[in-house]
Amino acid sequence: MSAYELDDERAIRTGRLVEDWTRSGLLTPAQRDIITPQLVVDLRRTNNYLRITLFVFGGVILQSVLGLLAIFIGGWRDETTAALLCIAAGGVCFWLAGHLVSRYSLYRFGVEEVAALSAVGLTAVGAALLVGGDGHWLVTIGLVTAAGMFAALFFHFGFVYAGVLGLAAVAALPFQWGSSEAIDRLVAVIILAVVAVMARAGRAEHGDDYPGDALTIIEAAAWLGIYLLVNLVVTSAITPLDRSSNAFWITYAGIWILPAMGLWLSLRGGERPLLWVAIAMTLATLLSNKEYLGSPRDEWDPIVFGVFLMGVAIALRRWLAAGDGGMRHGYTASRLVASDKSKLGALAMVSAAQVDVPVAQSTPAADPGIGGGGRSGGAGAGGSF
Amino acid sequence: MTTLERLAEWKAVGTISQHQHDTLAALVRRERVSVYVELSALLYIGVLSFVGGLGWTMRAYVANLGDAAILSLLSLIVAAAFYYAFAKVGPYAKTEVESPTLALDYILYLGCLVLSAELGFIEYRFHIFGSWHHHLLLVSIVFGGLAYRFDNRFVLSLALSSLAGWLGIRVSGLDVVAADPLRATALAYSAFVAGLGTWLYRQGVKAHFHDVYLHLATLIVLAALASGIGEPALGLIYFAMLLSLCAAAIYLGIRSRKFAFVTYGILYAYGAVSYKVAAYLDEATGIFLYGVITGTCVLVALVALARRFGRDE
Repeated sequence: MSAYELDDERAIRTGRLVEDWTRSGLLTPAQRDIITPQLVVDLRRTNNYLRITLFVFGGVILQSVLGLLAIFIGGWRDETTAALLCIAAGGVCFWLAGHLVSRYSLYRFGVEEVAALSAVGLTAVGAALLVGGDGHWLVTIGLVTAAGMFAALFFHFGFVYAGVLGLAAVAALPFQWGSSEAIDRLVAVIILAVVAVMARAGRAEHGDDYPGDALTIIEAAAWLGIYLLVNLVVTSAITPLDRSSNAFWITYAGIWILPAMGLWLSLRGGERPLLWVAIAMTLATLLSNKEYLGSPRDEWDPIVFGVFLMGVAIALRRWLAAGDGGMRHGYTASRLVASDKSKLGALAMVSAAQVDVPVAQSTPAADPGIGGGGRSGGAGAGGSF
Repeated sequence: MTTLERLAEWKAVGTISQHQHDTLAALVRRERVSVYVELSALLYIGVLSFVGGLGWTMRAYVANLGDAAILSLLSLIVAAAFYYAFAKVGPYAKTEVESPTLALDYILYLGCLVLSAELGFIEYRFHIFGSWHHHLLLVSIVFGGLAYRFDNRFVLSLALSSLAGWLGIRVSGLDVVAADPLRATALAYSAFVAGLGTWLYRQGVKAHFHDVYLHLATLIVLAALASGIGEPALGLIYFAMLLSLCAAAIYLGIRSRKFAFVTYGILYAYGAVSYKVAAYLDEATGIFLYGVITGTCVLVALVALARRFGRDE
């Protein structure tokens, strides 16, 4: 049972599209002014900056209140009392989130989100403490509870990130059972594959309209999770590489098959979240291929990789542009809506902090081939060489 | 009601034309999909990877290759990139100009990064500018000009971070300025960047660049001041300056509906005040009470702000 009306959710999304279409010149401001009143919903919303700030301060208050309660109640020496208090506090937080939505009509307002997420943490910790047991059992109960709570947040409030976090909790479960590493990964992959299939089936009737758009992201996240579990190089922190096992070479095939499948599915249906994940999977496969094969890394590998990426991008653009009307199979390299440009604008904004290209230092080292730290990171021209 | 149903309704009552309906419905049904962002992202990652690899290779083989080979290679890349960029670019305009090709922005960015690396290498090997990184000022000026000529925010970011580098301020990563003279430099840098950006904005010269200047200036000045509030000598002065600038960021952010600056102001001010107050709170009860009281005050103010301005920005 969702906390919001289906029509409200859809009107909010349509409203965003109308704004984007107007900025893109596909609708006139006059048309927007006629359409927008039809999309008004009785929900209190805010922009993302204030939402983040409200989230932070909502969290400060909640954690402080919980800390005070823990101090005032005091004397809870046994785990059972602590567990029951955590579960009760989790229940109160969940109720609070629901109350903020139903009483004050908050929608992605930050405050109700932090209350809901606190409910997950408290309930999971409480359940784990209540059941007790050894380390693995404790974590298992905590993960199961967290997964259930995240699912509740996804279905009740529509928080897509809660759905994604729930997936992560579910995928972590097999690793608590103490079986072999290959089986742990396999079970986690099967769980995520089931979720991906269910999400795909679930959104078939909705298309891109809510909740179809949310389920698309869940499906893409499940794909990403599957890939991460299959790619033993990327997730070598979980378990060290063992090239002697049969499973190793099966996963090697997997890291090539999964991106290909993802690209095929996403391009066939024009599914952007899955396309992004498929591209990420492809890049990860290219980057981990050498380590998979046990080949030594060369200094010029990034150059080859960079030239390859630029070449692919330019070739694709030219190929698409040469199609009828600059389009092939419904795909174009041209920008269709203004929001695409603003995404790149944000990337350019943060690029000032990202770029730190290794170049010369001011004082040569004894060995001209070895460099040290430079004074500044401006344009990368003062870093180490 | 789905978006497609709404589009049909708007067409039926004459709000949108048949052509608009067909165009928008094709977008909603994903019959027309743009991969502009994806291709741009590939180009961006490709450029960063290429330049990173270039630096890595140079570092590994500088002794074997020799200066002439390295400089020739770098010069060739820079020349090719700039030749392509100048060959493809359209006429200059003070307003925002669409890039004529998808690759142009990134080829130019590549040329600038390699030029930066080349100048750094020359300085490293031949010490043309002596003990200070004056080549950073040079690339900052060159990149600034190129950013405006090509309407390229990536290159503008490079220009501003190079200028910061010339002054000794590290922009990349989250390093905080940690000495009084550098803090003063950071203040001067931020004032200059914000002033220059605002002046150009008022002149109508690439007004869409204004946000880049303001974000960079605000983040640097707030980080510089915040890093100094614990200093024994000038800590209180930094604290007062930080609160004043936070208040200004909040006020101007609200007035201009740029709520990122409101967030910067609130978070830095709250962090600074909490840091000072924490010195007097030695018990958990006091800290939690402080969190409840101050958090509630800020939250109430934020809710009022959010209710008043709704979804602006």
